[in-house]
Amino acid sequence: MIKVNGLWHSYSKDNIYAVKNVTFGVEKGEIFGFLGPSGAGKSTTQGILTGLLPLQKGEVYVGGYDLKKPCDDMFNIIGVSFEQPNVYGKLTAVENLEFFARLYDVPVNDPMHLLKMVGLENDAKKKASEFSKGMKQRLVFARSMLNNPEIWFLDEPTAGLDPATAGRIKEIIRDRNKKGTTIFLTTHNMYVADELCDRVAFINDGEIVLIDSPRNLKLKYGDRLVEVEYREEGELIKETFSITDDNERQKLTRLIASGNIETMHTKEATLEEIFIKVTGRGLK
Amino acid sequence: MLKRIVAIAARDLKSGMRDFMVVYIIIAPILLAYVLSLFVPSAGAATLQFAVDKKLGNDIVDYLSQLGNVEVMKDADSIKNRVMQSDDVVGITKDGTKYEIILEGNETENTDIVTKQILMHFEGAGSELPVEIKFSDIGWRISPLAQYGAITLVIMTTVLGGMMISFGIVEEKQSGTIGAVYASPVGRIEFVTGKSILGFIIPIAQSIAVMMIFRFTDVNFAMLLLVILCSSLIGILIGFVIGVIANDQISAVSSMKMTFLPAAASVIGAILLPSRWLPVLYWSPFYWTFAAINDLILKRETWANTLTYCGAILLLTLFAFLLFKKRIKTGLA
Repeated sequence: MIKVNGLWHSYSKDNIYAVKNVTFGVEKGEIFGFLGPSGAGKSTTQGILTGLLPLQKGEVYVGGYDLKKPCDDMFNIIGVSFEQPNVYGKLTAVENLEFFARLYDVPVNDPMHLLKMVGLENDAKKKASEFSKGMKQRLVFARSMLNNPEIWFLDEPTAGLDPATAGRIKEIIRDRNKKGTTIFLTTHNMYVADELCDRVAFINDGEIVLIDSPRNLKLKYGDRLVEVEYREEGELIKETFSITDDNERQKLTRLIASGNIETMHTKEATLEEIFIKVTGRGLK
Repeated sequence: MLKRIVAIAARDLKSGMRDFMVVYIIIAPILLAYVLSLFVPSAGAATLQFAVDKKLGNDIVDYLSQLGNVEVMKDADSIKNRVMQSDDVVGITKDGTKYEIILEGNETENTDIVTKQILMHFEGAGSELPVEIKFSDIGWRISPLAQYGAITLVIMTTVLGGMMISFGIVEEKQSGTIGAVYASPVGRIEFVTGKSILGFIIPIAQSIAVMMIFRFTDVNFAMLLLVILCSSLIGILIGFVIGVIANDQISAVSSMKMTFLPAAASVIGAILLPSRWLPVLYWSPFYWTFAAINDLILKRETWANTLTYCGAILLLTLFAFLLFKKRIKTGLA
């Protein structure tokens, strides 16, 4: 659904590139995470994919549309949820959605239904300027579903939301993905990416440094260790065992059999740890 | 395409109606026209105005038309109603064989005597009156306040239409909604056209209201419409330029104030400069708008002249557009 080949972009149109030779593909029905710290080139890449930035160098196909020859029809099959809560403050929530609904050439979802999905049905007739940042964020998210997009670009969809609302949003994303929507998720939140994505790409200084499924990355870069807390003669002991070493594995088996274990955690690496390991910098 | 253009214009209007500043922009020229029209009677005294009973016949109407404006009324009651309005109008009817002059009572001094003298003159009778009456024509057929007030306000409406556009663009920029619109099937041309529509509609509606308030109800409205449509283009261009430059509504207002300077200079210059100096105003599209509406109000318009004025406005606007095209394109990206 998305094909990017040798993408370069320079804002100053010189040799200073925000995106350098980026190449990747996203299959139909996949949730593809684009992970990187601020300034890594995530937004630039998404800006080009969504037609908001011009394609300077490279090949980009979105839903079969060649972005070298921009076509307004492409926007009927994509949805974009911005990180910035960009809504019309003087219009109500429902008026915001009704306005955007009139811009599409394809059947659109009922604005009230979308507001209900994101928990804004009771605020539908309130001006968006009176909304909190989280409410505006949900309105932007609802707006991006108006045209039932085949390809859905989500930029930090859960940023600034409380855990319950963030959970609801993640549920909607999973649900739409199950129905076949391809999702391009831009985030620096490794937990969201880990939870939702089939594959993730790490971007750093404008270059993609890794692409794989979160599971494969964790297996490849994580230590195969188990951390255990157990009691022995009244004392709480914390110990780490390698599950690749025969002796340590046998010791762990004996410990499990003793029934003294209080907590036990596998020590696979988080996506953030992998990112730091690969790039030498954090995701924030 | 049309659906999207209309949606963008309707959204701008809806959003604008919830903004005090925009509402003020919409009603200001109309209010100003109304206030100015209240002063028109005294200024209008430069011209005689008659409301004549239809039964008096065409001869007297033709005679009075040489001296001032004449409105033919169907009966005495209509004349009374007309006389009661805010401007200075002398009602004339006949009671049997005698002329009856109907006045409100607050007219300019000696209005009754002047009217009597005119009527006696018409009937060919001599007169012996305690005042000396001399008829002269200094060229004013209508109140100069109404004439120049209307032209100034019509020009002002075209600039105010642009102001609404600049507010709309500033709002889009501040809220970041311009990106959301571009991430929909709206093309750049549709966006610009949608944003421009109010820049045409508002000045047209305001200008017609202004002309009505000043009682210029018999101007050639087809030509007026053409002139306003052409003049609105410069307002729209100014609106887009200021919209992309200004970061907030206050700075948009400040920038817009600057555009009132050439507009005001063109109007004042057109009124005060002797004709040999008028070419110094040819660079200004506002001058050509002034000339076109002035001709319409003075009833000396021709299609050839109007098209020439409109051509000049369009040419100058095109030149300004080419000058700012890149800045607008970058600003709206």
